[in-house]
Formats: sequence, structure tokens, C-alpha cells
Amino acid sequence: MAEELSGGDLLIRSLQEEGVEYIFGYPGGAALHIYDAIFRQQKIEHILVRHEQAATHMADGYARSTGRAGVVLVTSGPGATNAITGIATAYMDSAPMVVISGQVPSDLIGTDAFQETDMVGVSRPVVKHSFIVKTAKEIPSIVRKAFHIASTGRPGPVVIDIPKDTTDPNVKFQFDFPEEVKLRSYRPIFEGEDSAVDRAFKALICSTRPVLYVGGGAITSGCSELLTEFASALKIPVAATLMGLGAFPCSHRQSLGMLGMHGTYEANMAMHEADLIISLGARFDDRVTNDPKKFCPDATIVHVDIDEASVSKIIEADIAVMADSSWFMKKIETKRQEYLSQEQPGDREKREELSELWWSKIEAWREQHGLDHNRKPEIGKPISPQLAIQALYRATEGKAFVTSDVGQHQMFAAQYYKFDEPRQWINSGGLGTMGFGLPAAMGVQMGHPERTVVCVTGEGSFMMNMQELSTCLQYGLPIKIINLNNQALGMVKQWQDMQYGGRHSQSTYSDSLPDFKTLVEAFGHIGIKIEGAENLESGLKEAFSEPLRNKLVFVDIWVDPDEHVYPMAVKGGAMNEMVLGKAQEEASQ
Amino acid sequence: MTRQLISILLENEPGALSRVVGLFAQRNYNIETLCVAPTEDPTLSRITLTTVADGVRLKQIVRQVNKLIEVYSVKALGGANCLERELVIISISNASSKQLDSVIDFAQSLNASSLVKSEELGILQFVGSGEEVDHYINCMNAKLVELSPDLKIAELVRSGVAAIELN
Repeated sequence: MAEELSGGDLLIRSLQEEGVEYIFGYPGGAALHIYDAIFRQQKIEHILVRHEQAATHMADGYARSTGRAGVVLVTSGPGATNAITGIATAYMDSAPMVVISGQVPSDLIGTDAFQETDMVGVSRPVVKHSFIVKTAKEIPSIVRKAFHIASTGRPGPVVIDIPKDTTDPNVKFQFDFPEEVKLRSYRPIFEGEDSAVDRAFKALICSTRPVLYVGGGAITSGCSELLTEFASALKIPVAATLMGLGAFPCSHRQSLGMLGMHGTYEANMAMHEADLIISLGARFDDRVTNDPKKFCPDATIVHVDIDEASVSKIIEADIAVMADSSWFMKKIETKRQEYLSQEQPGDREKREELSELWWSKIEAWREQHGLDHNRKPEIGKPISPQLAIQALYRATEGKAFVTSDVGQHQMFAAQYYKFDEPRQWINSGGLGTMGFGLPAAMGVQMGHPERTVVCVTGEGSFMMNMQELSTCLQYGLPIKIINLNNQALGMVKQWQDMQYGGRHSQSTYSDSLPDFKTLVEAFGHIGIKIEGAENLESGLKEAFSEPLRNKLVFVDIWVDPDEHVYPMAVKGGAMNEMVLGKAQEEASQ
Repeated sequence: MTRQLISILLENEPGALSRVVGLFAQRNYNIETLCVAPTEDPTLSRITLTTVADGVRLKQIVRQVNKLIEVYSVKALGGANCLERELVIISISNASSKQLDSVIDFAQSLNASSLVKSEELGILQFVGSGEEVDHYINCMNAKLVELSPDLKIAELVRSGVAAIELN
């Protein structure tokens, strides 16, 4: 006979069955039976955070870097509401996560009891699904369903709200973990229609100016290898969204880098002039398309997405493929091999000629206004943030996991760190959550103890979750924090420079910033301050040196406070309309 | 922009309805009418709702609704492929007995039925498509004004449209 367990133990046993390694959480009244169950077991390690928002970002970073659902445990009321920002972050970027929230006892629900919040109601718009436990008996099957829903189809966060009485240590049920999930109303698609792939391939063969437009879905689906093989064989240029960086190696000659609002000149020009766009797990976000009416006027659009509702949401697809990106890539790569093996020499010559023509255009754009990846430090001048990212790239040999916060530093990292591996770049692209970077890096480090994990941040974002420095000490997380300190909310300030006549409303605080070196030392870590371009390489070298390998190092890099992120899309324009630098910006004002 | 009818089968579970209604608010879709009850299978509920949308938006609404975990199936109904019915109940007060008699006669000529008739109150019921209900209400308003400028519908309760597929 199966053993009898209380609700708290049923929950923890179920999480063990799911193979959970870590729970990121914070205790409180309504969750105490669960915490006691955690105390009485060894398999799962609980990471005690300092704020529930950080717990969700840690679980998110763990999930995005490993591909496995991250798990969060919070108490009712403020514990639950503090988790909302992180849940919304995971929802917008389709990260698998299971959030368990304690709830007041069932008989108190609806009475405005102490620390009561309608968690299912509050979180509803930002979860993939949610459950409220009615009896302890159903906990194993709910856990099973929650992980299944969070991790399949288009992944996302799932909330399990657990009233305190259902974890009562004195009420016990048989532990029976279901092998199969039965959800008749949830049938995520995976395979699409072969005919759509046929049409997509035909359109590709007929096209003369194709572009692959690759988003986060390509990374989630794990199709990077196929994508690289396919794109290389046909010499198709690849542009990535902010979320898609790393799906195709950024240092590959065919990579156009990031597209969109702060995308590269060549990526945006190529998109605009393309006659065929194959979108792979991307959702035509407004930061990519700019004005949808002016979007890629000559292009046939092939839209591959596992989420039916993303297809034709913003831009009507000419060929819609509702399927997982890896399924699509497998199919179209097979087609590609068949086609090339039967291609007549004359046809091949013609195809390669047209491809050369398209590439000569792209190379010319790259030449004219591409990003300068070989900036040199200018002695006596402030450090340019782009240079700092390039130096970081070299110091880590391009191999680090990089998380970021939100703002200018995020864009500089996306532009100048060449991510060659999927899941290597982790940032809050959809919701744009400041404070994401450090806790996300912590989750990444938990999932990859042997790897170098870097958090690129700015002093504004960093101060939104810096309490987690204490958690880092507790668990010995040797994260390297690269703080591009421009003494301002840089992106806000940039918009104010460009659109509000330089009136810096509430975006500066240079008189009241802490001394970050002293601050991180007070938390028990190492601080390095770098000023002056000539000290950049040596400072970073020290940060990544062997003696500091097992230490958290905070590198406070004082960068040029007046730098803007370029290119920048012209508001309401087409993708080929960009401001490329300060001179152009000033001339247009 | 036209009126669209959407029929949704969903798990008959607490909170399922609020996910559908919440989705409409969240994505800036409107709900004109809403009608919900269990089906022949008591574990499933049927929501019939009407909204105003063009074809592109309708497709998007259907896909978004379909994404909800508890939605079993969703379909846009319309035109010849469905039969729709709505119930309206109206009350008329402050009418003389004679006036009430002619109101009831008139209503019955429109296939409405009289539920209550007392000295101070008349309650009438009408069943038809949404459009027929609109028409009925307009006719009743016109009739009341014709009898006396002071007469009007005291209260009007519509059930929202329910619909069944024809094939």
C-alpha cells in the first residue's frame, strides 16, 4: 500500500517526482506547513531569497538557461503579490515556471483575512494557467498538470494556490503520482501541415532576397543546429530578435545581428528590402515592426509559430505554419537536401548568382553603417559603454552566460556581445523588467555551477534587486556583475534628449549614488571600480582572474553618461528608417 | 465592424468563466451579450457571446480564447450555420387596464406572450433572434407612445443570445 502523506509532504514529494532541483522561495504564515515538509527532506534544495520578486527571476533564469521549469514558493498576500512582476516577466517571454503560493485557510477565503489576496485573480492575466487546491488529495495531480502545462506548447508560468488547511500535517492521503496527464481541453500543437512547408520552401526557392527572422521560440524549440545547417547551405541571412539572439551564431558571417528598434543597420535594411521573410518563433513585436503598415512592403511572409494566436496577430502571414519551430526546420531541411541533390548545374549557378547579388547589397549596408566591433580605447576620454561590452566579450572569450537588466546597457550587450549558443543570452525582452538581471544570473548559476555567469546591468536596474547580494553570499554564487554606471536612467534620458528637448525629468541622481565598491564589500563580495578607458582591459582581466573565480565580483564601470544607443528606429517609420548617430539626430532637430 | 456570435465549450469548473471574460477585457475586445449554462454533458458549460469585430479581429479572438487551458472548443457562428434565440422580458407600469389590454393584444400579434397582468403591472415575454428582439422592443416603444406619451417600458431584461449549430 502506498504511504499516507499530509498535503505539505504530498506537494514536496510531487515536486521530487518532477525532478525539481531547486525551489526559490520565502516563507510566511500560510506556507509554513509546506516549509516544514521541505525541512524534513533532502532531495530538493530551497534557496532563501530576500524578496519574492527575485525568487521568480531566479526561477526564470534557471528555466531559460536549462530549459526546465523553475519553481517558486511564496506565502499568501504580499508574498504572492511580490511575485507578480516576475510571473508577468516569465509570461511575456514564455519561460516555463511553476509558482506555488500559500493561501489563507479555505474557510477564511473571501473574508479579507490577514495576508489574504485573491492570487488566482490577481495573477490571471499573466499566467498560462492557475489552480487552487480544494483538497490535499488532488495536489499530486495538480502538480503534474502544472508542470505539463508550463513546459509544453508555448511555455509559461503556472500558479498553484494552496490554502493552508490543505497542507495540514494531521490530514493524510495516499501518495499516488499520476504517470499520465489527462487534460482534454489542452491539446498543444507540435506538428503543422506538410503542405505549408512545401509552399514555404517553394517561396524560398523562388525568392531572390530572403531573410530568416528568428525569435525566442527558435531557442525554446531547440532547433539551432538545424537552423544553422539550413541557413548556411542556402546562404540565407539571419536576423534575430532580442529574444532570439544565440539561436543562430552571432559570429557567423550570415548573422545580421539583432533587428528592430535598436537593431543593426544591415538587419533592418535587409528586412525592409526582403522579398521573403521566414519568421521562426517570433511574434512581430512592435519593437521589431515599427509601423506595421510600412513593414517589409515587398515580402512574402512565412510565419512559423507554436502559438496559433501569434500568427497573423500583427502582420498577416501569407504562409502560416502553426507548428513547433524544430518540426518545421526538420521538414524544410529535408526538402532543402532533396532539392540541392537534384538541382541542375545551370539552376545552381543562377541561384548562387542571385544570392551573391543579395549579399553584395547586405555587405554594402554592413560596410556603410554596421556596428563597429573594433573600437579602441581613447586615453583620457570616458569609457564608451559599447567598448566595455566588447572588452567583456574578449575577457570571457564569448563563452559566458549573460543576463541583463533593462535599458541602454541591455541594448549594448545585445548589440556587441556575439552570442553563439542558444540560451546564452537571458534578458527581459517582453515585459522589460528592471531588476531582472542579478536574480536571473543567480538562477543561471544554480543551473550551471561550472560556467561563467555575467550580469550586465546599470546602476538604476541593479538597485531594484540588489538585496540579493546577500543571497549570493549565502549560496556562494560567483556571479560577475558588470555595472555600466552612467549615473542616470540612461534610456529614459536618451528619449528625453531625443524627444523632450533634453529636459531630464526624474532621470538623474548622480549626487546620491552609493559607492558601489564599498556597498558590495559590505555584502561580503569583491568590488572593482573602473574609470578611464585605459583601465578597462586590466580591470576586467582582474575580475575574471583565477583568484576571483569563486567570488562574486562587482565591476563598477564609469561610462560616458552622454552616450546614446544607435541605430534607433524613427518613430512611426518603416524598418529602413533609422537614426544612426548623434550628428544625424542633431541635424534633424 | 459587425456583430459576431462566438460559441465556447469549456470545463464546468470554478473560475473558468472569469478567464474567458477576463481575456476579453485584457485584450480590449468587447462583450455585447453573454449567456452561459451547463450542457448535455454536465462537466462542460457553453458560453454563447456576441461581440463587435471585423473578420481579422474575430479570428484573433477565437485563437486567443482557444489558448485558454479550460476551453474545450470555440467557434465563430453566424449566418446560415446556426439558429439563435434570445429572450426578453419587459414590464409596463402606470398603464390603465384598457391601455394594458391593447398593449397585450399588440404584443401577442408580434408573437409575444403575456406573463402577468394586474391592475398596475403588465409583464410580457418575447423570444426571437437578437435582431427580432431589437425589432420587438422598437415596436413596443412605438406602440406605447402611440397610446399615450407618458407610457413607457418600465424595465427591460434580455437574456443574451444563445445559439445552436445547424450542421
